[in-house]
Amino acid sequence: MDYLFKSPVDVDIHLDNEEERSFVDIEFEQGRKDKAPVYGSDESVKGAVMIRLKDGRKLDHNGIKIEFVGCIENMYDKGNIHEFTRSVQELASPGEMRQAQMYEFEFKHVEKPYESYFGKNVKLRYFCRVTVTRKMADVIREKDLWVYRYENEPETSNLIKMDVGIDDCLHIEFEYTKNKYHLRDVIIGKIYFILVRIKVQRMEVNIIRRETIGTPPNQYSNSETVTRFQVMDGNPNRGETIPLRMFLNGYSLTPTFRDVNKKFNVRYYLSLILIDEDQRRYFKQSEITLWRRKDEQGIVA
Amino acid sequence: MDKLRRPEIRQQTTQQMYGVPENILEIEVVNPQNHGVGRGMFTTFEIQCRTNMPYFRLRYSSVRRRYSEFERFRDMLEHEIGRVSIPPLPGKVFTNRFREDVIEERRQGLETFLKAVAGHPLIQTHSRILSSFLQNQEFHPTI
Repeated sequence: MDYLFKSPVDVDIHLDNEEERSFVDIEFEQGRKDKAPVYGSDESVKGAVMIRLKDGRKLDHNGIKIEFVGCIENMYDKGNIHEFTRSVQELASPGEMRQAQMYEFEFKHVEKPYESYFGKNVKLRYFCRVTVTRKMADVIREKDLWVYRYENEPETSNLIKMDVGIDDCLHIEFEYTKNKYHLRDVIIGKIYFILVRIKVQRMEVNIIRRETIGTPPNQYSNSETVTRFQVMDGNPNRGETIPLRMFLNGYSLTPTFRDVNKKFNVRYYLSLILIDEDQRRYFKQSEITLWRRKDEQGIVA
Repeated sequence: MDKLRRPEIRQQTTQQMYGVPENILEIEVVNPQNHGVGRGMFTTFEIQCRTNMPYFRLRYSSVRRRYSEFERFRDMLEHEIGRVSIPPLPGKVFTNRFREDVIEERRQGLETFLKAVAGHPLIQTHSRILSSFLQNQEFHPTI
């Protein structure tokens, strides 16, 4: 945290079993990096706060507390930080500290209703915040956590199958076997060429992430191509079928987030693109739903 | 065992597999020639077209057009097809119109223009004057 004055104390937040958990590398705007331990959505958040005095001076304070906060930060509208959950625990009542102290804390089964997300213009964070209240500047320290939410196999998954084209120029039928995929799934499909009168140079399937913030009329979107798969090189003939097999594992994908706390959406699309020899692009986007599956071995998707 | 699933693939006929693609379109602007004398002199260019696309009447054609006919064609095309942006023609020339290098530059510009316009799928399917400009011996467009 940025301190206005040089802090007279060192505050460290240590979470129980931190070393045994998996980590997510996170980066903040000022370039500050951290490793956030992964928690499940109903796990208790337990740990200890170490406060050490610098220069052997004593510390007068008006109370020490720790909060567990879940918030949504809108990055292009800086003032806009919405806390959707907060729990407080008092650690010490106003007094004097003459030597280093350790305070244990526990937020029992604290609810973490949404998955953590660090996006282009919006962040959803969970963190513990220790505040040492003083007459002059308060001393504040934050420790970020990362929350994953797991889901079960969806009951139904539909085929995505469409017939698209431009009259008399290009006519294709494409198919993806599912419209819902987990993060380590494989996209299986095919593209069948019914009519080809353009000079095709290549075909790609891109995965696009679209982040939408706010609600209409103040809605703001940004799109990013997460990855490109080149699936065909050269000009296909009538009646030709191109099979698709694209593995999702390894790309920076998150589950689909729909209307999180009515603040933002993160949705994914498959974009099938044909490029002709004059670099004209013909494309069709289809939305897919991504979800996070917990593997039997307990490995996180 | 999801990963081993293969989608059903339709059989392609041999004709389909080895047939000639229906997208052959070769356009060249060549052989500039000067006509007339004195102030009435003008240059025409030959447009050679080889195609198997169904939008064109002839599989092979060779016609002559002068610059002003290209301009006329371009204006009509802009009116005909609203949503596509039509590329520009090489500029008008007032001095040294008949010098070799000027004519060559024009020829190249006209060829680039025609290739871009004739190769555009929306223009191919929606324009009625494209094929008459490329293949009719005389270009007499009715407005």
